[in-house]
Amino acid sequence: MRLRGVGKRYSGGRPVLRGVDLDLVPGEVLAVTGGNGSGKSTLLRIVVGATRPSSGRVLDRPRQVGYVPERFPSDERLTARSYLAHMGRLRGLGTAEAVERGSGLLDRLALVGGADTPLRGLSKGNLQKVAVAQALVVPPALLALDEPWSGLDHAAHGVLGEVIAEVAAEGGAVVFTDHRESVVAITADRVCQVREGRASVVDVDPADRVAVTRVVLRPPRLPGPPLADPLLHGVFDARDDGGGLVVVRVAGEHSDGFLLAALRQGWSVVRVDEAARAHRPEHGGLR
Amino acid sequence: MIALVRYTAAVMFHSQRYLPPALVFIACMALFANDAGAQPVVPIFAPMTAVAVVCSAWSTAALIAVEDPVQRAITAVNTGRSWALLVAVVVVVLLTSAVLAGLVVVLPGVLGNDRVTALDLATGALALLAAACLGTAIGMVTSRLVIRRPGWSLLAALLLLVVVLLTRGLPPINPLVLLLARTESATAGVLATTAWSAVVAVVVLLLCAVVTQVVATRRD
Repeated sequence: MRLRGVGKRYSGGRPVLRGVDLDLVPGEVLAVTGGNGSGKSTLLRIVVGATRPSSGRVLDRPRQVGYVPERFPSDERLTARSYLAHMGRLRGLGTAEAVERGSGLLDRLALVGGADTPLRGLSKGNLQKVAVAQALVVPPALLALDEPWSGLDHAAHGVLGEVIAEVAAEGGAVVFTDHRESVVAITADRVCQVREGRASVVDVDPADRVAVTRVVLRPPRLPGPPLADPLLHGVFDARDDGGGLVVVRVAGEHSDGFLLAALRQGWSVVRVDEAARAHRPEHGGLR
Repeated sequence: MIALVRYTAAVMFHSQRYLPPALVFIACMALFANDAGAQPVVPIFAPMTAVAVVCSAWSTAALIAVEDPVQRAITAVNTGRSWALLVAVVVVVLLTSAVLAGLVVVLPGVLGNDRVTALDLATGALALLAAACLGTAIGMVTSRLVIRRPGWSLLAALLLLVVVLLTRGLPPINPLVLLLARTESATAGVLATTAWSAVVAVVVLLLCAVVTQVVATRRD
């Protein structure tokens, strides 16, 4: 998918974007960065087709697009399960399949409050989970997420990172906005900086990439001190796997120190894998 | 398209925004049609046609306002066609209006009116269909998609309704209401005039839908 000379000006206002050229490549994760009001969200809305550019063209947008807005509206009375079923049907699924996919995604994202709670009764973080789930109810060829980590809890951070990697691994193009360099660095392949309406794309230097080790641990029988100091041991994220185990992604170079610390705290190591390669976190990981 | 109509209907029924216009319609029906078992039915369709214009416009504007703009953007992205959202709104409002119109049309039969003819009922059904189309058109062009400020939107809707209902001879509704009010029993000529009004109303609806979609797309 390509954007050529894209500009946007809302009625009566100054241009928000000017002459943006951007290629979204299947299998690649692109981060859009910039300050507040720099035009990141507008660029994302143009990418997904929620708004038309005032000038320029958008070429070869795929049919299956997933869009996660910055703020998911909270005044719907539909339940989360019913909403996802409707969104699945809009994207061509049958009712049973849409319900199954939606429920599976809500389980994976650990929606607190239940899938049968009306959307207006959910907290900001749980609404964000529904927003992410509706974008994934059909595997998207283009996934666009506007500040997707905002409001998500600790466990969902890890799941979202996995989801982004999975969409890219299946050949989908992913574009997200975030203003935190640490998140951008471990998630994106390329970075598009938006400043005063102009966009410039830079590749992330391969030298910045670090190995990520995935460690599966069993907690101690008696509650003890926390797992390990995430800042000290290069932990990217940690989540419960639902079966009493905890999955931790940690920078490869720190994995020995992390494992030693965890064992000393009474944790038991179930499995250690080299999961993927990511970019070097700059501020001690995702959190 | 069926999935989108189902979603739009679900949003409308969960929001209960359809209730005030529907209750006003039923209250007017009780007022104007309480003697439908005995009196000629065509004159009853005259005020109910005018009421149907107002209630359809109200339902349309309410249904468009109930969906948050961000939610609408998500729905448009998931649907892949933003114009389909407007079509779904029109379909849902027309279906709701058809149910309400059905109540008016079957009422004389239910109340045991033995003078009512098939021509009378066909005339009434077509008049209410024309009213629903015109009301939906007015609701669309004065909705939030075209006029952002709620106050101006309401004022524009009231103004348009007054003009459409009260301007003598302005097709399609004003001449139709006057014709129905003067008719004791429908003839083929009355039915043809009513059908023509319905055609004009459908054309107005299509034009207003295009205008609304063009303005909404430019605004986004």
